[in-house]
Amino acid sequence: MPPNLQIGRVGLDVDLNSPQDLSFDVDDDRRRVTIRGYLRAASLDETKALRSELLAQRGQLVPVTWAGDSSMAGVGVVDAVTVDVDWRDGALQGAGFFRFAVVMDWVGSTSEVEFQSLLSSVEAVEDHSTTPEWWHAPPVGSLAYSAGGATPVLIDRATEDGTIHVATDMPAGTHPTWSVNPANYYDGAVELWAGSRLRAGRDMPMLPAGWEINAKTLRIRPGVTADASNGAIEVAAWQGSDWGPWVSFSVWWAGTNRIPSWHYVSVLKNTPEAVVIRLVRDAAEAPFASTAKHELDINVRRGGRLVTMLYKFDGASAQHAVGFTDTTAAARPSSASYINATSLVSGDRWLVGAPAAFTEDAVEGQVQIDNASKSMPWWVGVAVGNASNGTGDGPADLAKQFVAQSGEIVRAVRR
Amino acid sequence: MPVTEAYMDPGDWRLSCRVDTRHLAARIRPYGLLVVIPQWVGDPAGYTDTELLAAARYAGVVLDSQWDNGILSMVGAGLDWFLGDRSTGIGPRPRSSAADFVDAGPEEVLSVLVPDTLDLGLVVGDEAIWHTADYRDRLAKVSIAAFCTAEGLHYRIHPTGVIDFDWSEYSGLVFVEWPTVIASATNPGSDALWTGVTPVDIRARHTIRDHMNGVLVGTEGDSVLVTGNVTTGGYGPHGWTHRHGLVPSDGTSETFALGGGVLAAHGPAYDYAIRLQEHEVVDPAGGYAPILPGDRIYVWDPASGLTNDWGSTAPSWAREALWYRGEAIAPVPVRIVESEWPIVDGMGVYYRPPIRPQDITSDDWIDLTRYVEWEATPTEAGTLLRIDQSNQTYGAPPT
Repeated sequence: MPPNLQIGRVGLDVDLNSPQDLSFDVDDDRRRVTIRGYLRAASLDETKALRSELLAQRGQLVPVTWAGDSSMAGVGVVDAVTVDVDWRDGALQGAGFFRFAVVMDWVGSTSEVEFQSLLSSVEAVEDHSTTPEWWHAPPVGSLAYSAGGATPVLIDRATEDGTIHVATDMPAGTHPTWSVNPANYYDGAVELWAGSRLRAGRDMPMLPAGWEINAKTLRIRPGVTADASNGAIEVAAWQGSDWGPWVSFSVWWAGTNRIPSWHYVSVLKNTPEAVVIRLVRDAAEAPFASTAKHELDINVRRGGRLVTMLYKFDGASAQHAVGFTDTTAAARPSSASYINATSLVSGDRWLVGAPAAFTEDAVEGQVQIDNASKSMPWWVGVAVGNASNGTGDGPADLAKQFVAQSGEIVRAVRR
Repeated sequence: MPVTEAYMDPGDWRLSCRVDTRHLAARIRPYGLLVVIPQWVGDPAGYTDTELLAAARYAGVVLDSQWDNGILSMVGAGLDWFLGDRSTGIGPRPRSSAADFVDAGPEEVLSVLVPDTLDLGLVVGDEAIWHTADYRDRLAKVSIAAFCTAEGLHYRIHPTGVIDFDWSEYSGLVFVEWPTVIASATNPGSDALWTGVTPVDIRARHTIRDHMNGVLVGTEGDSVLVTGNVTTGGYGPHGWTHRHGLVPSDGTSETFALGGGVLAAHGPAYDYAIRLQEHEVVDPAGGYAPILPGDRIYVWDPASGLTNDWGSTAPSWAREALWYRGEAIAPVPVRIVESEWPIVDGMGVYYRPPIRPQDITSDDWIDLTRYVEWEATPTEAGTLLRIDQSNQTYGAPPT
């Protein structure tokens, strides 16, 4: 059932009530929509979540829908958000009550607007001569996907929100256009959940053990032992009708010491197209005490079957290693940039790869870089249903999709 | 009241005071130096003259001091002004026969051309240079510029008055050549391995109004065409666009060197201005030194064309993508040609009088800090950088 009022991601998690007033202001230069109402949910915590996520959408492109007036469904760019916490309203009593006003530049309704993805196609440097294949996925349910004169291969992947089309093997420098109803804009989108709430911006509570990225094709969460981070990153794949089991991965500093926990988490990027979060660990604690820090940046894109990770240690260079946390027999296809688990996990083939030259440990399921460095980009991929190479979902295909890194900026343009 | 520092150029600065300082009217005069120290160090008498200059962030020469009802304001330029002023043609002009060089090496040339006001410091490079030219009576600034263009050198003048030179296979000893600072427009923020700065405005402009792709040296009817290595330009509707100038031979310079110098001064203009949120960029990887004009930084802004897509013409290290904040980006290494920054509350502002070097002591310095009208607080100040993406040459990165 569609939410009552939805302003971007606000209204998807905690329900947002009908607005108190909604005004359109049209003149020669621009169209403005102002929505005023109040935030009140079932509990004070949920009301506060509505407040923080509404404020976090300032500057973002957001779809707006309202069950009370289906003709105003459309897309705008949030210009200003005001939330008043007034004691006369009993703002912090009971379930909370905050007045809000959102002013946005109105781009248009579905018939007026289509979307364009500006992709920065950057080939990751690697030692394995993998041919990059750029790829991109618009939301589930989008149509009229156009890559200009380019002819990508369109494949389908199953997601928790339905089937998503993924354009693979696109030429670098393609900026596709596509259309989708505002109500479906977030279908297939990458979601960041922290503290059990869906986050809309770059603010999240400091819970290194309490976050989850749901990219609808994959889910990523921290490994947790006794309510605290245990240093592992767990990934699960959507198998078509349900989620598969969690598979755990870890980082070994200098190949010898497994990172035992992460101290901080923050959001670097939170858009429907991609989420990047950063985990930080202080190196002053044993076992490798030094005045340096470890960082792990985790980057997931919509519709992907791989997670790009960037591990950095700003102390001395070392030969870092990454791989399956638990002993997992794995094999490296000849001169490949990855290793894959010999046994399937619930029918799926899991891979770990790295662009730098590495030596694999086929018994434990780890890869260790050959040349000492302060940074180690690496990736986790899953060939769901043991898909074979050449389908766009096979291990070698995912390796090509990793090397073809893309940053995406979506803008709405008038048709 | 910003300071504009420039790469191999005087730039300018201006300073106003808030309060009546008539008691200093007799002591603050042009030719003295304005010295800015990153943090106010108090009474200059507690330090030596050398220590104060070594700690300085900036030193410039006072060109103009004005008293309006007791309120002082000053205008000046950077230490490059001591090499001579191109616009007026006034400055040091070496007169001796030593300025007529035949197959001279860089130390020999520079020890004659660099005037007494400055001290020649490092002269680094790993190629042999044999320079022949007659610079007698020529303005030092013009001679040094011609020598640098001909032989591929560049220089920096430190606030201490020492001038260091470096040439084509850039060593990294004078300037930051292999960047450690990234200005990313799409993904600003910090990273463990890079110093990130936040661009708030980026303007990219390309103009060819002044562009030459060839120059005739000589006179009409009797000239030599010099094209150097220039192949830039474009096709009009029916053929190639020739943009040739005519420059008289000056009788002393070799034709091709003169032509090359004129072409270098008339390249297509790429004017990129980036306003940073930070008012000072300090680079931990560079020993916490501030990033100054002449240093290179990485800039990533696909919307302005600031990406690294030179293909095979640039050396491999300059073409590779790098990982920053979880994303692969392809930033372009660019040289800062101008940096404009405010003198903010917290800095130390001093006047150093134009006394003979052997006689000057820190007792002669005047502390102006308490009188200065500050431009901005550090949190609201920002730096404006102008960068140059054209005519890049590179050396090999350190192994």
